Amino acid sequence: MRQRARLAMAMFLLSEAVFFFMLIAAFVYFRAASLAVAAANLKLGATAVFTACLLASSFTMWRATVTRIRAWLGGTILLGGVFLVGQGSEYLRLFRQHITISQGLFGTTFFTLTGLHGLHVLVGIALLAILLGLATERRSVAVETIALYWYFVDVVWVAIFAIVYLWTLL
Amino acid sequence: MSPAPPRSAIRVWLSTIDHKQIGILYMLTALFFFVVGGLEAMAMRAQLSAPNLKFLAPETYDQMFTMHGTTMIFLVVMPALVGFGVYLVPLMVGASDMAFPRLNALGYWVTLGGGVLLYASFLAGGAPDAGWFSYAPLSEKPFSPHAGSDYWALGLLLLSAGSVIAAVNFVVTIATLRAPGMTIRRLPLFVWITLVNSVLILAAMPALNAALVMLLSDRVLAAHFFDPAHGGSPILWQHYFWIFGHPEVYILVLPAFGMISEIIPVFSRKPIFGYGFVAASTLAIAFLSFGVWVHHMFAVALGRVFISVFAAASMLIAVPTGIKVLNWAATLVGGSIRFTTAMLFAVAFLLEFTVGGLSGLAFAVVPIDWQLTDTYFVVAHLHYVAFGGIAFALFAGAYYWFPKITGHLLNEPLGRWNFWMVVIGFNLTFFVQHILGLLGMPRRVYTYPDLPWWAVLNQISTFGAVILGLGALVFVANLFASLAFGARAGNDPWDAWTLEWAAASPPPTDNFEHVPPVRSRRPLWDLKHPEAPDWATRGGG
Amino acid sequence: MTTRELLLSAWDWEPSVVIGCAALVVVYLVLRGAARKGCPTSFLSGTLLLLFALVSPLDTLGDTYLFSAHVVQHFLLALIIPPLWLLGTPRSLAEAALRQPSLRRIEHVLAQPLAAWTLGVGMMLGWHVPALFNAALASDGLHIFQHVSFLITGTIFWWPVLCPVPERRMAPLQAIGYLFSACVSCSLLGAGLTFMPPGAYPAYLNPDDQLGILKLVRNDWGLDAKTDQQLGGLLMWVPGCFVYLTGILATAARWYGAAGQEA
Repeated sequence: MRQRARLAMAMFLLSEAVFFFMLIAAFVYFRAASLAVAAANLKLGATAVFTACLLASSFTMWRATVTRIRAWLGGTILLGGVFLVGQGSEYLRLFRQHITISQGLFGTTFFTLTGLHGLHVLVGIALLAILLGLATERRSVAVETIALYWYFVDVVWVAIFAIVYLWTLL
Repeated sequence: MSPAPPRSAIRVWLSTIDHKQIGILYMLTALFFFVVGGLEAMAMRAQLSAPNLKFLAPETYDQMFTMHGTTMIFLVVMPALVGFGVYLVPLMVGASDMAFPRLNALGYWVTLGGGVLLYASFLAGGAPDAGWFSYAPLSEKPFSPHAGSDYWALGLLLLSAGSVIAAVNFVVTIATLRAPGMTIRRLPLFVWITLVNSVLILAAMPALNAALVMLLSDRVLAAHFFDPAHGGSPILWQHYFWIFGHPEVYILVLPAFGMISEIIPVFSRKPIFGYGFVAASTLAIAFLSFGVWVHHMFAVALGRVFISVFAAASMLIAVPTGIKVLNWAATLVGGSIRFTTAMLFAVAFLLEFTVGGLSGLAFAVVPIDWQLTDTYFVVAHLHYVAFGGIAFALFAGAYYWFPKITGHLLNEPLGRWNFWMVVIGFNLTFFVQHILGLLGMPRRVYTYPDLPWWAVLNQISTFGAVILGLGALVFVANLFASLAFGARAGNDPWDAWTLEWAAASPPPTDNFEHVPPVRSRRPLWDLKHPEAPDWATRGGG
Repeated sequence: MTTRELLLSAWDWEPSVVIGCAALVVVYLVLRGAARKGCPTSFLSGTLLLLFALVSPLDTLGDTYLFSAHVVQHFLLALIIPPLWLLGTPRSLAEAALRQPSLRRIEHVLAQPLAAWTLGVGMMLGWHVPALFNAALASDGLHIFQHVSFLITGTIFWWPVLCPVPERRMAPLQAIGYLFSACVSCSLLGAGLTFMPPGAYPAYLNPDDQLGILKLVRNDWGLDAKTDQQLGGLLMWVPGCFVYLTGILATAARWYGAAGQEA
């Protein structure tokens, strides 16, 4: 069962990887035209902090699969939540500068890419919350399978952080 | 413990997680939308039967061709093929169901939901009308202000999700639930092709999803992906759509190839010629399908060098398909051919699909493409491969597997009528469209001027369409009549060789009482011919 | 000068290269020995292609004028010559080499699929980072190192797929995944270069026209800087993929052919 679940998740993540790749490609395609706005409005420091939280959440996720102690699941949800709050505050800051999805090419590509990623984090948190609620041993396969999804969402963020933030600001 | 109270048929079918019932649901949904899409086509052919007709308003005509294309591809062919796959794959590998039965059901209901959403557009101010590939900027808000395109995008997102769900389930089922002894190299070609096709779906649908998300962002949230006024790029839509769209046509045709690969050998009484070649060429097609999409964009001024490379690649991708056609033909040679209706459709498939392949190959030659793109030559090409190819294979599959699914044989005399009306009707409808294209008639026009030959060729095409439509109705009639009155079929009416024929017709819930031992590609042949089993011959194991 | 004159005159018979290739041929024939094993056609064509890649006008054009020519050269070095060499090496020779403890240890580490893949693909991607590629164009020493590294890491990459000792090769399904993922990486690089604005490698924007053929290249051949970069990217992308695809299909064909011998 574990093998089947893992294979199913791997196949699904394959399709998600292609999906994010296409969105990142669109960002890169329009990068030259959106660079000025990006450089003027993205802030590395705050984003690095909530990025670190998301990466830490992969660690806590891993601990949850190894020890089955529910606190680790809770910690993962918490850290994921912090990430989303951080992302949300960044969005608010940009909105106050009148940078929305319809601002121009930067707004279009930035909000679509990070927005869809954030949606995936939200779905992940919802799944983890369901796991937290389930109290049976059966959830070990579920925890490990959803952990794969969570790591994937992290990896995608690393790529987005590198391409959108680091490549713009460094 | 007292037995559970009998549940109504509707409750059973609405809540089923049995792969056979879900397969039937998919197939019935496909059949329903086939009739709807067919009516849309008849409306168009009526409008085009004479020059300057006013039967359909231009705006209505645009909705017809958009919905016809979208319906036939996403609501007929995809569900039909997934339906056959979901029904047959567990049986063919000796399993009692798919790896994830509830996921299977989810996939179906999501697909149906997509269809309902798409057709709800008629009630919401008008169906989408920007063509089945919905080019920007036509599909953007300024040029398509009503909600039709939004319904198109959302409906397709659901349909795409349904395909991905099915694909995940297929991969896991084929990878993990095969009967002992059924190695990858002993898989029935329908199953192997389903496996490769599923990975292709997983790689291609996301490109469509990304494009749809981007289009919806533009339309609903005023983003600028494809909006030239703010630096966006309509060409980007074309690239993204066809990066999905070209693999999609192989996603549509590969399972049809799988069906033909099962049917032709059985009715030639010979194992398929060159199993390894058919299997390996399937891999080649899957890989190559991502490297040719630009041939849908030859007329977009992308640069000579750029399109030349893709022209070469497009010619090359004809090779693996040609290999398959040669293998099927070689299977026929020296065989003891039995022309059941299934076999008639299978052989007709070979001929019609080859014609379609050749017209496609013509398009790989850039100067020819520049003359013929967006004319009726394209319409002819795509219908030869999609109808003469895929739909004929589906007819063949229906006649072949109907006995297994229902326990009744489809009526053969009616089948002959079905076959000949469809073949004659189809060729009358679409062959002349090659000529219309060469004469310059553009596609997607709601009417045309009275130029020499245009009227008479269009009349022939419409006449053919009527015959084709009636032939399709004969098929539907045959389905229902045979269900009610058809001759009973045993487990194995065709004396075939793959595992599904070892189960009862129709199979019980868990499919098999005992799964036959698998020591070769034709386990039932081995069972029926213990004196000359495949596994004892060199190359037969 | 005309195209014909260029193709006839622009050969650079660098002595080290000529002697090196000759030595390779001699060593091969000697080691192959009287046993007449291996596939000399394969090995010799590989070596001939190596000579061609390094002394023909391809080298001259690629160094200065055309990115696409340089791509063809690297393509040969990394994707064509190593497979030909491996296919041509006699099994007995490889086995004898692997009996040497030091060589066996090296092979044990480098022939791990992950290591071989990372080295092969990494080297390909790494050398195309503009800073590194431009540096190699500027420095002869680095350029030689670049070419040698393509040959060596190319051989390492293809070893798990085409090892002269067939039993040491990867399992067929693994090999298909190995080659496919490399193909995707190569395609991504090629596609990126195709769609990027010209100037990734600035030396090709305004070549130093020592041979006086810039007009020939730009006008008669129609290769301005943008088209040249596009072509280079396309060559990496599409024909590059075909090489990997051929490997995949050959592996699949052999695998299916062997199915008859299964119990």
